[in-house]
Amino acid sequence: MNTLGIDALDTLINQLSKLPGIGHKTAQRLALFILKSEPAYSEALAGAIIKLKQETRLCTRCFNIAESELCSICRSPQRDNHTLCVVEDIVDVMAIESSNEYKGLYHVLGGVISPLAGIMQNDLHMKELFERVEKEPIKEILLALNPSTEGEATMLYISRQLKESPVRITRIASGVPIGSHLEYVDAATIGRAILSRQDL
Amino acid sequence: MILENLHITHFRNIEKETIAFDSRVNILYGKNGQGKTSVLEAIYLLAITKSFKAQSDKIFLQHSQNYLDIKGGFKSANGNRIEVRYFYSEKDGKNIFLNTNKVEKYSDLIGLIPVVLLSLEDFELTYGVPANRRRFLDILLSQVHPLYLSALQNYKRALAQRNKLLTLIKENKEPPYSLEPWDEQIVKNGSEIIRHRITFIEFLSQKLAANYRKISSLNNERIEVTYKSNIDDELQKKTQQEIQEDFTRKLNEQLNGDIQKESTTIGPHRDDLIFKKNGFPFKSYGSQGENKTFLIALKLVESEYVLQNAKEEPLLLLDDIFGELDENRIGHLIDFIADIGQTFITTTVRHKFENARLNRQNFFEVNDGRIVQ
Repeated sequence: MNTLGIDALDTLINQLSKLPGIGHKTAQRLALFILKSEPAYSEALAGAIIKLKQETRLCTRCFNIAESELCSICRSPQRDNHTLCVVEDIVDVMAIESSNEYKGLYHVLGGVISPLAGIMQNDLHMKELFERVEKEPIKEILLALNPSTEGEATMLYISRQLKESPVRITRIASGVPIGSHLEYVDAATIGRAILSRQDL
Repeated sequence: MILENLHITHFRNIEKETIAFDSRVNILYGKNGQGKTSVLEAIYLLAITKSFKAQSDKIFLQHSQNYLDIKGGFKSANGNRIEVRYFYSEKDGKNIFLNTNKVEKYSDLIGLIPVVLLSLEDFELTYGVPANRRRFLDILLSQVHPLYLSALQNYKRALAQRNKLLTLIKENKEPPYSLEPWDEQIVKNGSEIIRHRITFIEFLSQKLAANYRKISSLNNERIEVTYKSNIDDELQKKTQQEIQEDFTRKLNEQLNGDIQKESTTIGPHRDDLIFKKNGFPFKSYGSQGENKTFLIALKLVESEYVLQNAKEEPLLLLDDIFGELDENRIGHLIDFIADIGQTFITTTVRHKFENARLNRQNFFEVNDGRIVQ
């Protein structure tokens, strides 16, 4: 790796290249941009990074990102507390929120079951989910995990565990993306969409 | 699908060659080790994204070169022109491009250019281990049915997870009921795999005997093909629902044994395809010529299946399989094959093809990595 032997620069490049999607070249470019920018910018950037870690934590109820004990969604009186959407990660909460279609609460599992990766149900926020179903006035659980083999297995696990419970268990549909042309959708997705077609 | 031209750079012993192919029959002749099979391998790489010979890309590289580049210009049945490019460099690894766009998921490419391959490695298909025959079914059906490929990928993934879990259960680290979600996925995807395999085998048993008679001099051989599953006998008579129920029941019956073995003993990953001649299974000590004729008949049915279901003629790659057949038989076969799809044949004996109705444009001499029409 080419370096100019300047310790401060190399340290920053090294730290930046640990970010997802950032390779060594991009890290170099970002570091040089910061180097050339006004001191006010680099201070604001560093401050924002530190503030993010200091002033946020995980919601104690749903494990979404929060500024206090509960996250803004759990605290909001406008949300429907009869519906609970189960997702893999915080990024999925962001994705669903951006649709503005979901008004209920969330539960972030923190992953999916995968014996090969050494992740079992007890390594996830699974126990907390079942406790919530007992204690809270939940009527419907919407499973919104990724349709991977592991995501499917995790959804099956949850639905089997809640077999005796009166809550309604649903899962998000999978199929052809809105606004896309059928000819560009991969054949396996079309095949699935045809098998799970709906009456009009 | 027709392969119109092929550009190969730094692949095995080929430095840089451009070949314009005939739309029906292409005969690549030359001594052993000159690069005939490498041409077929290059075509196969463009279609299947993997080699039928090597496991790693590194060994494809021509000696002391650091990249290889294979580009094929194809014409589909509806007249569309398609370019597929396989590029490997030591620095960036393997990249595949479809019409100059990088392909992110290789499974999206499978089936676009259907191929049917018959090489010396296939000779044990009739009498060798069952894994060979499952591989044959998987490669064929994945090319024709995208849902088969996705069911197969999910099945293998769920199977690996289940086997890992069996180990954890044996070590008392997990309770047996944690298998349930994986079993459900294995049954769902596994029965999908079985359904496709059975449909193909019904097609195969209808066509195979007739095809075998057409190209063999023996007229009264009785050929049978059956699918053998450890889930149940006669699965072909059952509905999808019944197969799923039987599969689930069998998995539960075998549970304790599976935990002891730390591996799943029930399912299509243990199934087999049985070929019988006059009521008896093919044996390794049978006649090689007969075995070859049978395999050619099998590959022709495979091609017909691709044509019927994918609505695209497959490319037929026949690697050095005509050695023991006589000139008359070869001539007869070439006529027959030319009707099925564009064919690529490698051979060390050009003169055996003189009888076949072929012209100069059908022949390519391969000599030390050079290819001359």
